[in-house]
Amino acid sequence: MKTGERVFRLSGSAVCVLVGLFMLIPAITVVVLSFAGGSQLVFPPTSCGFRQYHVVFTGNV
Amino acid sequence: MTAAIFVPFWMGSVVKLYAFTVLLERLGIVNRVLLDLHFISSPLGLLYNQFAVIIGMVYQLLPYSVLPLFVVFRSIDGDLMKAAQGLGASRVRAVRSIILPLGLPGILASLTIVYVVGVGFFLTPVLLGGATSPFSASFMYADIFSFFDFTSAAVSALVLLVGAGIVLFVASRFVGRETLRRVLG
Repeated sequence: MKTGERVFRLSGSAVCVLVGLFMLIPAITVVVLSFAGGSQLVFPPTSCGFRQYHVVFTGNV
Repeated sequence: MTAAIFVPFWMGSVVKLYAFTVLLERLGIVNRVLLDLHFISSPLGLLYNQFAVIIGMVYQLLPYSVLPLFVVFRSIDGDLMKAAQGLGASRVRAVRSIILPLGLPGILASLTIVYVVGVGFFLTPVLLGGATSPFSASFMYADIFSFFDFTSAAVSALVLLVGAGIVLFVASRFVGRETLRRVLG
């Protein structure tokens, strides 16, 4: 494989990885925050728990 | 990778935008990573400006852009590229002369759908852009709920509608109505 073609393929792969990360990071943030114990939107969460899920399933907002 | 493109469809708009608020705020993940890597010495103002709106809109509109392009470029016969290279064309020349002209309907359809979907965005400019980044929908909201000026809101809405209609008309003239319908699903 020529050097130019290798660079082309590598840069294409790098762009794909960056786009994939860009699409996934907000979703991962939401998943992590859903296990936060506190009521404030802080990342990383200061405490962990199922408080948010308890609120959703019991309806005690 | 294809699954990652669909991730924005799995979350509600407000949830997506609050995730970006957490990422882009003054002590958010992005600023903290940049500070830890010593790329910056003080936190950057990434939120409540046009940059945040652009990031949010790209995130939400990327699937609409990628899907038509994916459909069109997948339907192009890969042997055409090999044939062009076999006849002496470089890879760049083959892409420019063979692949891009064949993919043009998909590119135009992608631009059209992104414009038509993006022109009515309201939540993204409000939640990520704040007051500094007003969009047409924000102006209409202010006209109706702050100034009670329904006429001005109606005129703005009509301008947007006519603009979207013109873009759709031009796209269908260039690409052909049947191709546009097939690519847009």
